[in-house]
Amino acid sequence: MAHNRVLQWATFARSWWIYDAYHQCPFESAKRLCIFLQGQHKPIYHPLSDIGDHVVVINTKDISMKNEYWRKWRFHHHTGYPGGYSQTSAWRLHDLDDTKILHKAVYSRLPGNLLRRRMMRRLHLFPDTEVPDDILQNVTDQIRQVQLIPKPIHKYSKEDIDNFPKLFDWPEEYVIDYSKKKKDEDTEKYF
Amino acid sequence: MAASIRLGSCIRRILCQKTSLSPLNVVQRGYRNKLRDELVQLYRLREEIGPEPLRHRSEWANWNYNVELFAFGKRLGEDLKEETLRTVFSHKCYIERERKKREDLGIDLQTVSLSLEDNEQLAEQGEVLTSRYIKGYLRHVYPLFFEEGISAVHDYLMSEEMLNYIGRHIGITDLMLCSDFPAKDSTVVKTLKALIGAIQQEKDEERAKRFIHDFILPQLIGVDVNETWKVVNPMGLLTAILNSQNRGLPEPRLLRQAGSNTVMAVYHVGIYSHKQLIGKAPGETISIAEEMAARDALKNLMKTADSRPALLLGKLAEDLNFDENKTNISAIDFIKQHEPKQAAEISS
Repeated sequence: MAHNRVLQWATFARSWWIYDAYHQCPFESAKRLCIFLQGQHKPIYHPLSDIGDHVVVINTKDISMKNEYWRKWRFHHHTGYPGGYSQTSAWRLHDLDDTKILHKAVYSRLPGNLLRRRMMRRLHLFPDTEVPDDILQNVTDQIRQVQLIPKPIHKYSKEDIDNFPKLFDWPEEYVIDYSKKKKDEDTEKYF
Repeated sequence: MAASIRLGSCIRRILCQKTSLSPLNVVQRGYRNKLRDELVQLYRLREEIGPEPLRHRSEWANWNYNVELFAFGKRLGEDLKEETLRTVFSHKCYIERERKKREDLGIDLQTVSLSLEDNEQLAEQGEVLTSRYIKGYLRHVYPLFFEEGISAVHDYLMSEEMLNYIGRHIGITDLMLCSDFPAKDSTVVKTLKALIGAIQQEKDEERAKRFIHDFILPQLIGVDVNETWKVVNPMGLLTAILNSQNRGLPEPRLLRQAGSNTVMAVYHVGIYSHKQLIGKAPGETISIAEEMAARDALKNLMKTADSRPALLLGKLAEDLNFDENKTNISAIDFIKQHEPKQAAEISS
């Protein structure tokens, strides 16, 4: 009468997670995704057993990088032939394939054993929110994002901006937004 | 001085030589060219003859039946009389064989009696007591478990396989006086029952019950009692139980699911009654999960869930007083009595 068989089934079943990469650092995200891909969040975890979960990542085209990383972070590649070495900056790689940076970040974060390729096949990357239905139907839960998404100034309403406490008022001639600069006829005539 | 030492060492050398020359210590030198042939010949011979036949322990050296019998009683901590122990181990088949043997030899059985009693009556007595005590104990420990379940666990403990396992491990195989060799499982089981019967007859019933408690009931440790009872329609039984308690009818709900488009799909279904979760279980499909959740709910209601307290064994069970005549409710009767009206109409 017992249901011990299905408890075993549930223990080893793979669950599916969704992760929104919008405005997220790819390297910090990779750190978190690898835990789920390897199954480190499960009590039965063992490095040699293949018990990782599936992870669906959306909005990979909107990842963010800190400082000058888009320009200065370089991805290296060697074809294996003499003179086959090449390196690409992050912005260029992202231009060529907008899922590639996250793919490489996760791949390099996973342990270099025989399970790595299999775990990578459980990582489903999508540049935007368009995910095929048969994949989306499998999803059970979502993974928390690694960083807070900053709210840009244009998302604040005028009321919020006006109510924001100020220490002083800017002088009228002080230009904050150049697009909204009044045209000065006196100076205009010199251009 | 020096001469005497030399003389002594000489003598010692001679003595040593003498001892090493004994025919037992001759060391063979060189290759044994025929060794392989000899071994192959021995091997083929063994293949032709077949394996060595199994022999009873009494056919080997250092066998004293009386001593073994005495040691057996001491080992169990039961001070039984020698005659009683002898009766426990004497089977009907053995006595008949002995009688026939004597008849063939022309010995008059009336003048030289066999003076052996068989264990048939003791075994019967032991079986009745064991069966009654196990059932009473199980009903006491699992008061909400249905009678069918109690019977299933009882049958598991009283099965030939289980009693044979226990009997062989307390060493009654070598002591049995029976015509079959190697001993049949059924003979071992009969002897064990006869032993319990003998304890009851010679000591008292309490002592025999302690024996059952110490040797048979501990076999339940690590056994899931729910596994032994096969429920065909768990949802029907669950409905009847809830109906009898005036609680809401069971309502299965899908709690969560994963990988529904894959072969490794898993669904978790919970059973609710009056908005209260009474059991939940996973499954490969929704229908399997629903059935398993019903089984889980039954386990919770019958208080045989995995978190149940440990069995009362050893010192905990010393002052155990329970009514052996009390029986639990039978599941079939219970369903007939408490089936909801609509369902009863459909089934009829």
